[in-house]
Amino acid sequence: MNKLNERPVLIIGGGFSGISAALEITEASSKSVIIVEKNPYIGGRVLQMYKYFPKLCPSFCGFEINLRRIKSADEGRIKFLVSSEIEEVIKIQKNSGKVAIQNGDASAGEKVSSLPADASAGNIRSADAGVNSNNYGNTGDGTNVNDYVNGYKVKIKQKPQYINDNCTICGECAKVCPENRLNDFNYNMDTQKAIYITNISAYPSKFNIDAEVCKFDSCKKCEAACKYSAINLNAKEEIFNIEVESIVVASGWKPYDAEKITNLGFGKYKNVITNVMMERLAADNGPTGGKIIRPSDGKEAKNVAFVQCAGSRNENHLPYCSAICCLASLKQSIYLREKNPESSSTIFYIDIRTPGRYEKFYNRASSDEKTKFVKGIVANIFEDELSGDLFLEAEDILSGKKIKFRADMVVLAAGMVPNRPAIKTGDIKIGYDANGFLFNQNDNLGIFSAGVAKNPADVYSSVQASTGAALSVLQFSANKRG
Amino acid sequence: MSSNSINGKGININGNDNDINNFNLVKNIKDIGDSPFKKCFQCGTCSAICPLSSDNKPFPRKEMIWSQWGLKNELESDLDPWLCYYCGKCSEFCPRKADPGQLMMSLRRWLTTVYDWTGISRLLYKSKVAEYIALLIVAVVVFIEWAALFGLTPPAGSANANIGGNAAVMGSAGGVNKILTINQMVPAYKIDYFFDYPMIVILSALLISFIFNMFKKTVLSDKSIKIPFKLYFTELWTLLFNFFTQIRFSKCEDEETQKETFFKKLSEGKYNFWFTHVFLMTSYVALFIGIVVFLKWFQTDDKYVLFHTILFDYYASIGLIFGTIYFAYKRFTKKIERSKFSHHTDWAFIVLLFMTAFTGILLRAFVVYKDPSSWVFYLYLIHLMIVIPMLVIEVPFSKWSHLAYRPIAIYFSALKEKAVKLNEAEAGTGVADSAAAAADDNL
Repeated sequence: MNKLNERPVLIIGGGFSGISAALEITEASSKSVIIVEKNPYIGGRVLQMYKYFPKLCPSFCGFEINLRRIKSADEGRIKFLVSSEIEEVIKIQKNSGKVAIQNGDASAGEKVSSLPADASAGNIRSADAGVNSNNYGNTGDGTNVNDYVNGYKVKIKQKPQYINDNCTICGECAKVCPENRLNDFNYNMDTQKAIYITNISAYPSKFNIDAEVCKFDSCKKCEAACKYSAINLNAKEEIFNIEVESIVVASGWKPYDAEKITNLGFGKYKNVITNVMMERLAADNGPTGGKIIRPSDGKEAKNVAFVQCAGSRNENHLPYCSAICCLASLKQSIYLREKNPESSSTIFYIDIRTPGRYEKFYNRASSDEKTKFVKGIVANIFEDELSGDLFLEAEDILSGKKIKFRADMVVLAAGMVPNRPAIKTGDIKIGYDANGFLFNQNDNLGIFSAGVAKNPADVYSSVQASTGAALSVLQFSANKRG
Repeated sequence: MSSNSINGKGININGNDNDINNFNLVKNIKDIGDSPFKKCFQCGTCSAICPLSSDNKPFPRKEMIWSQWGLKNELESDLDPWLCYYCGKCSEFCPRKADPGQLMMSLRRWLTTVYDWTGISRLLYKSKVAEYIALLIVAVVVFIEWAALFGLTPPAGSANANIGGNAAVMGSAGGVNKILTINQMVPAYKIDYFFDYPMIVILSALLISFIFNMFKKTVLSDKSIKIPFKLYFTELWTLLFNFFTQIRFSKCEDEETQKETFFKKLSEGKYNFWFTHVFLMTSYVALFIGIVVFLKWFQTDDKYVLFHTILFDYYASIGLIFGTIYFAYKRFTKKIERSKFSHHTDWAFIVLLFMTAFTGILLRAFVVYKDPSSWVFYLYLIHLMIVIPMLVIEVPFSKWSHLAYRPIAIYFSALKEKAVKLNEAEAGTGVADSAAAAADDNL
């Protein structure tokens, strides 16, 4: 192994993009990567989807292929820090040529060895402060300011890991747990125990404890119930200080807060839901076991209206097009109709954006006789209090008339907002664009972006962006050496 | 257009009136009220959220695209800009910030220039300077006329007897007192004959011809609708009703989701704008009729006037002063959509109206408290140099004209709507009905 390559690459975000970038980097080179993920599991948003478009295959399918690739990677080359967030990134002071590299080599080797062999293992020890005292500027020569970036010192905070790798997900702990928490994986549509497993595909495959709900010392029932001594309620938060060569930002997205679109009544009327909630409703492992029913009364939702551009392409909310909502609604309309042949779907749109080969997907959705398309954005939604039905007001632009449409349930195609992790970056100027995306502006810093952190995209394009980011990482590394 | 492109001539951009697309139109509309309507991407939010537009022919989305495309014929025959009361919901919710409400305001100005065959209003809307010069010219004409009739200094008390029998009688009561009353200096009948009556004849002639022009463009041009003659009379009440109540203002506050009562909205101040507008308008109309028809009531030397005069006078004075200050305040603070953008003609109207009321009240005060006659003389001149230019310029050519066009547009569109319904009833189950049934499917 080339010693020069030993300082690892930091990947912020362990979603589909982050994992793809990690795999491409490690499979194409001898580098190692560290993935920092804020959730207790990797896989990100993809795991919350019911099906992928356009093939309508289950979303964990693609994820599990990648998981297999990770597991078959060289020992220790892909490391995870789950339930972790990056606190601070500091540029390593630049040095003049050789000395710095030699210096860097020695310390980097030491550094990597001090890293956890596996983030999910219980025997992680925090990198002690002494290691950090390593002085890169020891030549005392601070010139060559225009030289390459020599790497970053990164401070990572991991939440207490109450449950170690002994966990067999037998579930005995949850049976005795008296406390409940909102299931955020299902967008708070149901509750679960304070000791819980996030989802069936969770990796690392173990339970978690919600520290905000758990009563800890005054309860301890789970500790008693666990046969494998996997629970340690005294676990503490840990800080890791590592040094990395370059950074891939794959911090992903969150759905736009639909309550801000006041005229569409989300949060006010129960039967107005968002597209991501629809995915959970339809999913077999979701809150309703895959039945698409109305939140207000549990009746099957037959007449469903899809409201496109809920927040997107709207200068009062998100000025950009979120790129996937049209296809997501078409997908949802197709599986709604497949699940219940009596159902009907009506899609209110400004433009249906299905570029390239996705046009076929649009044709598939629109060829269904009980799927209607109305050109005209919904300006107002209000509720019939007795039935819980909703009235949608729009102008049908093709006929030039106002319509008032009655629906059982409304699905808002809420747009994508890029996550922007709160990291102290000091004098490093990371070039976010006006909307918070990182679009190829930081190449000379060795900071690259992939997935929705870069621009709104579907899974397919996110993987392409990850491959691109991986290549950039390797090029950056090569140029540095040269 | 497409044939032009095929012939290789390219798009016709000479902007003739005969063209389907008038390429100067965008510029013409922007000249008299710039708004970002070209940003519109036709989502229909504005039409759907508008509490005033009808279900079958909603606005303002269609006006947005007509303006973008320069469809002059469609716009000229369109009454809907007058049915818009600028509640501002369209602008507030527009995802492109294209400000449809502001375009509708610009279109009202533009339509005023379309009805006006003289071309003067276009000039006044386009240029601030032109408006000021026009006002100045009329003021100078008033000044010259005044100088010719009454001279430039108040007639001396000793010359009382020479002015006329009437004045001599009045003056003799005082004897030593050389202060002249207003009617001794400036007889009301002279104001009537040399100022009021000529002005009213010219203004009426202009305004009526413009309204006829409007009728031709909006009603007669629509060949698809034949309006039964009887309807013109049966629908006349909508004209009067809307003129006096301006009831459509209240519709701005209609919200399907919040079923608030009239009194709830009233107590929340949601109708303040509407009521102030009605107050100002009725004050204006009252005073206009007053000074043109009953000038003798107002221009009186009597300190203790009759009760109806007091009512008339005080109502109108309070209405004008309060109303103009209220609207000026709204335009300064820019908190509500309809007051966010002010054209120079909007300001000119408010300021002139305020000055008219102010000088009028001042004049009356001087008369009542018997201040030096020379002050009354000059004040009256100043008052006329404000009120007459305001009326001559604003009534037919500028902002004032909406007082006429709005109710008349409501009347015309009621005519058209009723006529369509009558035709449909006669035709029975026609093509239109199947379309309506299709629309009903969605309900």
